[in-house]
Amino acid sequence: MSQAFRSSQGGRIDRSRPLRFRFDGREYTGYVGDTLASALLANGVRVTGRSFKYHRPRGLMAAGFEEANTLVQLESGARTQPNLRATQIELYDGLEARAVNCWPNARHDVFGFFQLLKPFWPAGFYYKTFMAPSWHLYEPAIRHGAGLGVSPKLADPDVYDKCHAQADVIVVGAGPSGLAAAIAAARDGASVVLVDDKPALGGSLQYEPGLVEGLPAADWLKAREDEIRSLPNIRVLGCTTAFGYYDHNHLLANELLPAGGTSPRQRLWKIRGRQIVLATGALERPLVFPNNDRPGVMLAGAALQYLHRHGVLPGRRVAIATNNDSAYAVAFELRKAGVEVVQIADSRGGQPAPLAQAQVLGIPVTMTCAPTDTRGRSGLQRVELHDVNGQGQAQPGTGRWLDADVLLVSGGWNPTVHLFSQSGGALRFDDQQQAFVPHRLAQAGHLVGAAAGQAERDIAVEAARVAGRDAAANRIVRELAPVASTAQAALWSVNVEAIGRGPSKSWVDFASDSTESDLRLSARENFVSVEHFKRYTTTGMMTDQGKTSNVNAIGILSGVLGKAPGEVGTTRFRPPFNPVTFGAIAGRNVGAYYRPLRQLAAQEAHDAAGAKMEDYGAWMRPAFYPQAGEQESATIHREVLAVRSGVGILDYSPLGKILVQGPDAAEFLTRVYVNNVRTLKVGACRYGLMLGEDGIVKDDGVLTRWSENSYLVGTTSGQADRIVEWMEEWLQCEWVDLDVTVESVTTQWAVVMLAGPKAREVLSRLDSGIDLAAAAFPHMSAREGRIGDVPVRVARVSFTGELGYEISVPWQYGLSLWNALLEAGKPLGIIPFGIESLMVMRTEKGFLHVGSDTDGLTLPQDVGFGAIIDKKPEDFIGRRTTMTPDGRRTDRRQLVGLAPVDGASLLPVGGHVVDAAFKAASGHTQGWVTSSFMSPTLGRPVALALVERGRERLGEQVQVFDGGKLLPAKIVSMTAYDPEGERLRM
Amino acid sequence: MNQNTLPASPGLRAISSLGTAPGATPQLIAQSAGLRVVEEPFLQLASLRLSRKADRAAALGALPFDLPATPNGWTGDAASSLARFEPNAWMLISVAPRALPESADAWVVTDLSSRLASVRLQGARAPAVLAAATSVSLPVSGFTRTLFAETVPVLLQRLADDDYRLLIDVSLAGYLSSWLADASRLTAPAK
Repeated sequence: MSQAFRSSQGGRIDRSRPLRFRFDGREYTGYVGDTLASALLANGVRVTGRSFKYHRPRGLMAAGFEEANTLVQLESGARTQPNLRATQIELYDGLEARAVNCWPNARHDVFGFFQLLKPFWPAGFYYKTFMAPSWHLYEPAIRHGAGLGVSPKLADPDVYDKCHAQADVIVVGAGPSGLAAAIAAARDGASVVLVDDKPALGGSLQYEPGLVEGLPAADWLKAREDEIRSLPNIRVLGCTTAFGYYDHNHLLANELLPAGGTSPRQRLWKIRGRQIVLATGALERPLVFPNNDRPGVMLAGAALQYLHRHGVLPGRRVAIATNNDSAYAVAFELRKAGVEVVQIADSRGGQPAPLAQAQVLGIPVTMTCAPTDTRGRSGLQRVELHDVNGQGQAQPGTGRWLDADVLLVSGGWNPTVHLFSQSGGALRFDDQQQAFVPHRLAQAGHLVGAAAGQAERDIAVEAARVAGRDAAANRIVRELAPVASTAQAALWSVNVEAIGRGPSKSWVDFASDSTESDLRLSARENFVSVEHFKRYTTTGMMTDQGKTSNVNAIGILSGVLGKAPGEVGTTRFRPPFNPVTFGAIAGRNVGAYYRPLRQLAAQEAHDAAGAKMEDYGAWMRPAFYPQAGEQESATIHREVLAVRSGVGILDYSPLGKILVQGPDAAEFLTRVYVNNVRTLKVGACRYGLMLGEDGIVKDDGVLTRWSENSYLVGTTSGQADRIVEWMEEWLQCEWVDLDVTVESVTTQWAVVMLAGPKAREVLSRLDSGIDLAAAAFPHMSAREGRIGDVPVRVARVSFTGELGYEISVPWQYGLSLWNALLEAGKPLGIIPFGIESLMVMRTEKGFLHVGSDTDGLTLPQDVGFGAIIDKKPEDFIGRRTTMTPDGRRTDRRQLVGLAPVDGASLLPVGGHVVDAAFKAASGHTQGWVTSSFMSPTLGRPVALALVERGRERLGEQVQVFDGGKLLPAKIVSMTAYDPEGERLRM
Repeated sequence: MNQNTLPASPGLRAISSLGTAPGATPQLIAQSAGLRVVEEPFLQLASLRLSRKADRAAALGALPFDLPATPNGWTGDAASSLARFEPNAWMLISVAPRALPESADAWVVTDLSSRLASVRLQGARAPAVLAAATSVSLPVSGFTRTLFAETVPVLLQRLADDDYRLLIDVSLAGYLSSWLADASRLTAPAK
């Protein structure tokens, strides 16, 4: 087919640059400047899609983002994109697309017989049918039949970018009003960002003829383009669709970028404006009548766009049905282009203004007339017309058929208020315009042009200039005054009952396949609230968000309910105004940038030692250091035994470190910790527990008092930042009388843990000036020293159960310290060990690991802090919960040790603790295993578990149930290794 | 800490988070037309927090330097500046070491020289590269805490029209460096 519907001249396409493309497996040609839609139309492709539910053949109905019928799957493989509107895809050479929701193609869809089932599948059918035995039995098949495009299965190879911008004034829409507002604001000195979804400025001036302020549209536009180029404070974002309007005038917009190279494919703009001017235009309403969805039925305004923007004729014999004047202008332009306009059917009575010109051009016009049916196998061939009365009711005995290959329809215009609605703006129904128009603004901005309901171009342009100046001056408008306009006559649907027909094929929402009969059914079943009927019928819930259907639906419902449309109301539009790819939303936060992982100071050394690095709380840390050919379990076994018998070294830098300082620091920490902080001596350390406001164990760590008013609070690695913010919240919101400062110093200090009976000997080889003798430097104390001139802090604490030191130096010395300790320990057989080995050792020792051994119900008394709480006189965060009847329950789950009775079976983490008589899975669980390892030190499994009344049941036999298996186990002390703690005090 | 004043230890050697040794040429992260992204290793950084109960006027007057009064502002120059990042908190950023008051009743002074890595973005394309990551449009002499690429907290200082300083937790310096190098490539003008 060779572009049989391409006009010989006109349009903003480049006829010297042909492009080849494929649609539904067939090859076509178009031109640079085409959209996929215009190229299909030029090639005479009538059936461009299938409807969502009933697989009815559909053709192009619009020319922009309101297109509801022609959704395509663009390209294939990793770059495929589903559900794009053909009207929004700029044609390029080699483009390949296929219609969605059909097989093998839109012309011949094997599911086309679904349309015969329509009487059985009305709106809400799945609420009443397919219920036995279960909806979920049928759901997959129904959803499969009703789906749209297919998500890509392969990783997207393209890059998506984001960009932030700010401006005094953002103008959305570069039509005549948007241009006037942007220029006026810029001339008054404001910085302006002008956003438009098209590559060229002008909006409707690109295709609507006529004068603007006395100049031909093209000349007026050229002058404005020149003016914009001369204003450096206007930034124009073309091919950029504003899709979200959020609080504080935060606008999101998506820019489509030229394909090719390594450049980003799309860019998501996050723009904040002091004021936002919406010049978003208006959307034409279709007419609702039986079989109004046949390919060849198109919005009149769309035909004008195809003609003047793309040089495409919508058909050979065009009929027009309208209830307003705008469609006449389309008829006149088509006539000028040589198209035969066989009839204008105007549902109104009287003598509309353009009637005389139509008569001059010889275009037949019939007043009080509307379409009532269409015919045509793969596209429109005939249109049935009836006379209608003032209520849109077809009159019996007045029907006649008309041959036409295209029916252009216009049911009036709706201001495009989606972004305005998203911003929180309120709409009102304007009886004069018979449309919902913007009323009260929720954010600083203006609406101009057709978006404000202003249809007269010159008036709109002048009003837009005023709005632009107001926006530049940051004048606030709360409410929009009604716009003077000519009275419009609504025609929400053509009523065919009087001629013995029903509205079951009068389509209201083309995208969701809902009809007037569905709306009436919804009302009969009392889903009359606008929110309810929307969901019952799914009107407005598809990817076009009801751009062509919502107002007609509300109009029809208002007629059924006997209410004014304004009383029925509208729903709030939600972002995105236009579909946005996940790629654009994710931007560059994918792959390595998806979740930034922190690096250790000694990363280089860990890599050199062959560490297996893993993500622990957003830190990349060594899990273990396997030797050649060594399995993980063997490595951990080796590392644990080396520490227990000699000395090991662990990178402990990620542990949270918070400096709490000030005269009230002790008081503050006394309120924060379960423990008593006041009694902590300078130079001493104490293990501490923090609770949330709900009394649940929140975090733990070692607290060190470095001076009278200075404490270093240790936290778990993953919680460090959150604990800082939490402390700040208490200080800034609750305890404003406390003189305390909080500073995170987690990464000020790199920390290396030395653990094992030879740890002191290794440390002594680095001359820090600290007396390391056990008496001078006992367990749970801290000292300051220097290695050379480098300050060093050493805390004698242990999470392994062995003699241990945590040595801190400024971060940039972390690598050097690590290497120095390894070198110093070489004669003593020092080895690096990882987090997994540490976890084994702390479990052998029975040390709590918050997050593993606690859950969202664990109180401090459950993990052995009951006596500490009872002794502490002061209040602390979460204390109240520890004293509630639930907190004092005697059957609470308590942390204890578990040992398998056979001495060999590893108890599964998460396995439920049940009594010895337990038989079936429905029985009562007494708790569960929280940590469990094979102990290299003891040669048998060790485990910790939260068990009901655990501490008073030591020695009792229970079972651990997991995956249908039962393992006998005995409740034992948490501390399996060195219960007297002698190794800590070496 | 300035590279000239880093503690010299017979046993321990400093190295920046991007691998620069004291005295060595700082890491060049990206350089192309209109853009230079370079590490600024071993700056002296310290927070100065005013005690809640201090006599504010007296405490400010007792300092050997003036602090910026404007929220999210800074004074000084690129070599040495004082920035206000919280109502009662300032940060010293200095290439050469400056004497600071000891923590006392009125002030809590904390050395953060090791905690934060610094990266400079310079050139006509610097604002565009930065705009891909941060939402803040700072005036010259602006200083603020914000999120980088919607994920990572940073401190951002605008030193001149086309000159920015980013301070980020030292453990994320590698991420920042890689991200900026990528952004530099993506935003490079077509040849």
